[in-house]
Amino acid sequence: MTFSSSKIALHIRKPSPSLAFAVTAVAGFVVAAALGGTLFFSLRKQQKRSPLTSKQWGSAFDAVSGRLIDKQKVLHKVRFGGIEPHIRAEVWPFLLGFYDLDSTQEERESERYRKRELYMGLKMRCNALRIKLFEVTQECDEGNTSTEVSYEDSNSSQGGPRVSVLASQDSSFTGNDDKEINDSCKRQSPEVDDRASVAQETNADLTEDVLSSGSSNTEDVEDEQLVKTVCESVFSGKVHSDMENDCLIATEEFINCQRIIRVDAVRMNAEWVPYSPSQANVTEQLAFQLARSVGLQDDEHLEPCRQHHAARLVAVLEAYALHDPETGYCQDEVGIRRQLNKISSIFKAGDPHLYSHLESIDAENCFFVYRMVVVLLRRELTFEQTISLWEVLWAEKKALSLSNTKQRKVRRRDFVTEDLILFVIAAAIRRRRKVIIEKCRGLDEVLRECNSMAGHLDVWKLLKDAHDLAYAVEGKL
Amino acid sequence: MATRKRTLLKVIILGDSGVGKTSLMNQYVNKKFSNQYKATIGADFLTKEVQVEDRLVTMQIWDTAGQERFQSLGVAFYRGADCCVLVYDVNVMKSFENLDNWRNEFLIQANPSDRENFPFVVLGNKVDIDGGNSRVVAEKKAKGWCTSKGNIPYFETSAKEDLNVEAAFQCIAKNALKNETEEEIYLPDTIDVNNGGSQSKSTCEC
Repeated sequence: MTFSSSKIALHIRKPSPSLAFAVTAVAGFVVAAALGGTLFFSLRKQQKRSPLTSKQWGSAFDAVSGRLIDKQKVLHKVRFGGIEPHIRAEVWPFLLGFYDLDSTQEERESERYRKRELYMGLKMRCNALRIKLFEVTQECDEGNTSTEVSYEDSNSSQGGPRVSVLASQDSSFTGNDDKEINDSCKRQSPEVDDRASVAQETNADLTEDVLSSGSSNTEDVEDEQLVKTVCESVFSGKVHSDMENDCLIATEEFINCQRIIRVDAVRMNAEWVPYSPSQANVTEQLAFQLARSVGLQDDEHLEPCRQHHAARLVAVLEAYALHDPETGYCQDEVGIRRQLNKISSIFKAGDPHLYSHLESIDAENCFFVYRMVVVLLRRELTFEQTISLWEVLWAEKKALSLSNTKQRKVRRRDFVTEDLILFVIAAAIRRRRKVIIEKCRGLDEVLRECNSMAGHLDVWKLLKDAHDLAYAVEGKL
Repeated sequence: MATRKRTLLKVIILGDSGVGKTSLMNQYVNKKFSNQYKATIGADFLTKEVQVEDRLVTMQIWDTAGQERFQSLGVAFYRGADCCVLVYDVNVMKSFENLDNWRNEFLIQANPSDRENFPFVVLGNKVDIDGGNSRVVAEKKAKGWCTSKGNIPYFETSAKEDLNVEAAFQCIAKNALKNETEEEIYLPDTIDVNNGGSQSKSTCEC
């Protein structure tokens, strides 16, 4: 199961709980406590367990080595209760494989440094490529506009190729505690970290800087070839070899991806704002600059924070599309269908009554959960619930990688599944099984039932049901 | 036993991402416009009761995802369509050029019995933008394409300003009704005992 959004989420930085959220949580606690001890505990049992707290997280590491003392315990905690919002930025890198669960503090520091160096190198290579491409295409055809999408960015009158602007934005990624790494990056490319001036840099300055560092000889040759192929294809219409054709198809796919990403980014709402007030606090000018530098259009109606966010999204998603061309921004149809089939077989094994009804109305293909599968329930859950669900999914995946597959019979609480998201979706549908069986007479009616679930789901109840279902059908699929 | 027909017209809206399919549907059905719609994923539908000439019909309007990544899903939703609405943005050339692909894709996947005469309607949306100064597809060009594909009816619309939306969907309903043949659902008569067994006026309450 591959999907980009789980990886996208990696870029949601340091979410801090809004005051409103904190107040609600406190109020909830007071009310629950006032109900009296017994009831309070029974309520807790039914709903969710408490999330991983910052205190627990702090004491989960060995004081000397900085290694996690009991990784299973930490994962278990996250799987059944999630993570306190303000420590997510610290915990997620472990769940998402940025840091090894067995790493020491020292290893993590050097890993972070290594990855940053790698990132800087790639970014420079990318810059160089963009500039070269721009120069060559200009030579080939003065004023040609047919190649709009991929070249317009370097063509913009504001100067400064796009990637460099992103570099300035990414300085927040390093944060204050990463001063050292940040400085090393500056040494390599002095202008990269200067937020205000980067966009004003001339192409010439950057070209010189970029070309003189960061790429090896093999990469240079590869890049030369790429530039040549793209130019020839665009301007001379020559016949291409297979390899060149692949390159062209990839370019075309990327341009298409780029278009969809931009449309989607502009449509993004402002739900994230309370979680990231610092990111929401941007000037109109900065937002405008970043938006133009990533080629965003039709964004005039957005307020600065949303415009800025949309531009950042474009940058992140484009980078991801290049990083994983297989998935790009678009999850492949085969993968989606495989997941729909699996949900169908979960019903068949776990709820035969529901399954036979779906079969009788020609809906056993489960197309009605298409949206839930594609964006991992993002449309059905609130922002906060989505984050909770996704971090549970990541923890489940990590726990799975640690679990002993040879062990035949596992206890229910230790049971992990690689298809947790599919069981969660199946559990969501089963909450409406009565209505579906009694009232729905076609795929359209089931679809309507599904789409009306939005905003009415409790992620912790679903997760509990999902685990029960997964345990019940284990070995029957 | 006498039967009364309740007609359900299935209409599919297709077109590139961001041309305004969801907006058009929402303007028509809910009389609302917002520029904050999220991308449609998979498909969704709304229904509306419409009067076409002397008949009252239920139009089930399917709004689909414009993203190419979801296209092969079509077959599940295109089945049994009575009319297909092709939408493009008059300010984006590519969205017009892609109409051909959308039309072909629909014909392949829905596989209607009479391909030659299957009703399409084309909508050129977003004519309001920049007072029409940013449009790149001329009305003449669009009409030319429609004529070449067997005289497809063509409307220039603005979902935002509610321009021509009602007229376009009236035409869509009319054309869908012409096509609609075996998709009818037969229901037994409802007997109103209080009125001496006269037939209920409403078509259906289910």
